[in-house]
Amino acid sequence: MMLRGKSKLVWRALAALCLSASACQAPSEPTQRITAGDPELYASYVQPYLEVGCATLDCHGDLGHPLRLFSELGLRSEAALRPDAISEQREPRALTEGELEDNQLSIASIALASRAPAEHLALLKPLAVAAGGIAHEGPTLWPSTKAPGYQCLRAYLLGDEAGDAPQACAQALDALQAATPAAAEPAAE
Amino acid sequence: MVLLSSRLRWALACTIALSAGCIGQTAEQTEADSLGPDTSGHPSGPLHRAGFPCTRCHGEAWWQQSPVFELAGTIYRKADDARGLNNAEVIVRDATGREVIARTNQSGNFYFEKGDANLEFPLRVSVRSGDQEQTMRGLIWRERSCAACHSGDPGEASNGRVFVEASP
Repeated sequence: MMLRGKSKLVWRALAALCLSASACQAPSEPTQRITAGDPELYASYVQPYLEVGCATLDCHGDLGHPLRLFSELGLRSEAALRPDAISEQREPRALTEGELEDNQLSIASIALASRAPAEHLALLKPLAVAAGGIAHEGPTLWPSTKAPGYQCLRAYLLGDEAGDAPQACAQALDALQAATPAAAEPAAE
Repeated sequence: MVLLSSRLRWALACTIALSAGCIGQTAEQTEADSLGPDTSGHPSGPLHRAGFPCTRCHGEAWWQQSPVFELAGTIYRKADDARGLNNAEVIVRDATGREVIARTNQSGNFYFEKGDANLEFPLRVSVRSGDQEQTMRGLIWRERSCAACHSGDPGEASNGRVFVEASP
């Protein structure tokens, strides 16, 4: 009698388990694959732009912020990669292949949908809300989708047909370097 | 009636006990507590806590009545100096192209109080003392405390102290 009661209990538990597990079944949508863009294009043109505009220690080089990015002047994957203080006289160490690959994967991981590659947080977050972007804790870097920075990231993420990534990235970097234009003379002391 | 009031008292006691850990401990206070004690030997004021991230306590969100800083930090002569550098110039150029200059005090501390400079980010910063000068290679996009990114020795998440004289 006792054994039968236990057996009932086991069957009920199994049934409950099956019912609850059904809620965890994979959705009918096929798995979406996200791909990182071309690694050479990233290393040569995209990373230098992100280095100045996004990957600083007070933004995406801060482990507490979403989208972690390594950079020569910002976060490194290990302390040994920054043995000395960087100065005007001392260059930072170049990013390792692993750091570059990690950055590419970080960016790839914030794609919203593989079938609509422009629906990507890396394109929408820095873009002004008025231009179709979405709220960003950090600054609005691109007033419109015509901004070189947007074009740089878009061409990298979507491939060659989306635009001239090297040219757009170089223009974007120039724009950042001019983000603090030289003043005529000191204003106050 | 007596029973109900007794239960109510228990419920209240439990609620207070459970929330005791949260009362009086804002996120800012927790962050400030994590800085540890001030070992400078100076009382609260412009000379205290050299090398600490100033705006953890002197930021907009702080709960005490202390000055709010737009930008603040500590400058050292060399990257491995333990004491700050007096009378160094901190030259800040903001997104409008305006340039403002602060001078460090005897602890090596400098600060722009809120309203002093109305800085618009991003910022580019140089530090100068005598004929020695260093310009930060990157831009500051949002952080108002130098020590948030320039704390202690260089490491994976720090560029080390802000200094004017590079080591050979």
